[in-house]
Amino acid sequence: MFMQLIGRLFNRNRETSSRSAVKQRLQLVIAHDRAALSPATIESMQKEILAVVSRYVEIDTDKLNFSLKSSDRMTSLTADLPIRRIRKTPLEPEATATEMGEATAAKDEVLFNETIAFDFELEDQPGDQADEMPMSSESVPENPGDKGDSIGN
Amino acid sequence: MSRIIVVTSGKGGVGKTTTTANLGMALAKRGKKVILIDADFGLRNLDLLLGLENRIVYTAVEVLAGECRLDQAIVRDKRQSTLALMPAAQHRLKDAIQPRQMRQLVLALAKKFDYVIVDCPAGIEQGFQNAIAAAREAIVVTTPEIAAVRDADRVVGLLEAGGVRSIRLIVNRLRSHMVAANDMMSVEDVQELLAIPLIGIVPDDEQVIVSTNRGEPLVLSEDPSLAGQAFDNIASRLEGKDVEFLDLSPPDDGWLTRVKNFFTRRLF
Ligand SMILES: Nc1ncnc2c1ncn2[C@@H]1O[C@H](COP(=O)(O)OP(=O)(O)O)[C@@H](O)[C@H]1O
Ligand SMILES: [Mg+2]
Repeated sequence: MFMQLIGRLFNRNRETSSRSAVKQRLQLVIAHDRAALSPATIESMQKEILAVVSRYVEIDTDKLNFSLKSSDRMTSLTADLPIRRIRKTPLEPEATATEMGEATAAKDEVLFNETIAFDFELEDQPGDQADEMPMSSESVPENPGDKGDSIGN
Repeated sequence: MSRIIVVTSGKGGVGKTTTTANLGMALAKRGKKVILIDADFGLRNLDLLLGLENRIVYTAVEVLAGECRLDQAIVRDKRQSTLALMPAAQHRLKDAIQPRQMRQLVLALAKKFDYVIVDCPAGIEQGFQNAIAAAREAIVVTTPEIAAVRDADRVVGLLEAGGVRSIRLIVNRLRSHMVAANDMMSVEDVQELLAIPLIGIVPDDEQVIVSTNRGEPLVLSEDPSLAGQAFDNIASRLEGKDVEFLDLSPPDDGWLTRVKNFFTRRLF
């Protein structure tokens, strides 16, 4: 009992150990390296995804999150898009992002409190983009919901 | 068909040359005909690790320029007669060679040897492209450190793109007591990140420096140190043998040491 307590005390900093920190940093940086997408590409991709999804549902743009992750030589783009409302009638494809932002919620729209998550798996295709700059890790917001064993938790 | 293996890493100083020298020697000890090619033009040191620096006359550059015959540039080891070295040029940088030429050289040597092992320079530019030009297999060396692992991942991608099918990982300079203290990534951590099969785990070992000082790869020793055994095991695995990984876990310190470590870490 006493020893268990001591043991727990000494292992308390496992979560914040430099080992788990380095692993987490590498997961992120490797995912970005593998994807070899420029920040500009990522941004325009995010915009387009958002535009399509927003035709059907109203997204809480303050809380949305795109992130790249890697495991097993497979990189995936994850989009967490918190839904405010579902549109009864989808907007026309031509609708621009600003129009959608301003689109007011009609009375008959269903209130919704969920997040849709997309996972886009990318087969790793390095090589051709060997000379491209790796994306900086700031270019995509970190995924706060995805760090079960993260530092400071 | 002979095996053409490139030893590469992306990052410098992680142990490519040490690995090449030891694997070459270990395979030669098994009676295999082995040639080690130093592809680190301008910064050659494979010859030093093998203790062959005084026997170099011609290098790969002279062979490719047609200034000497292939066999004139090959340096044969006197300790293991089946081991040979194809040295890199140290001064003739302006004669930068092309992947096509390197391929030619490697394929010519592959006719005469069971193993052609290419010691790759650091980086992912010309020298890297040359070194992997003819490779059918790759050994990626990394240490359990952030920059080395990131670069290794980059290199794995480039190797795949370059058509190298068999890519295996060596985790070098492992310090198991640091892993136990959660201050270093474990082999499993690294492997999980890189997702390629593991062929070896080599501990951090002072004897590596001692052997380098003498120009005698660790595996030559009658009673090799832990790192020497690790390299010898890798050679066995290359030969298709199923050898268990060395147990490198530190002896359990007991709770007293943990108390001590806890306080020293907190205080300093
Ligand atoms: N397992 C090891 N333990 C201790 N030192 C090592 C180990 N492997 C390599 N080193 C040292 O690291 C340095 C770089 O090794 P080297 O083989 O020249 O790397 P590279 O060819 O990748 O640049 C050398 O000083 C070498 O002695
Ligand atoms: Mg080297």
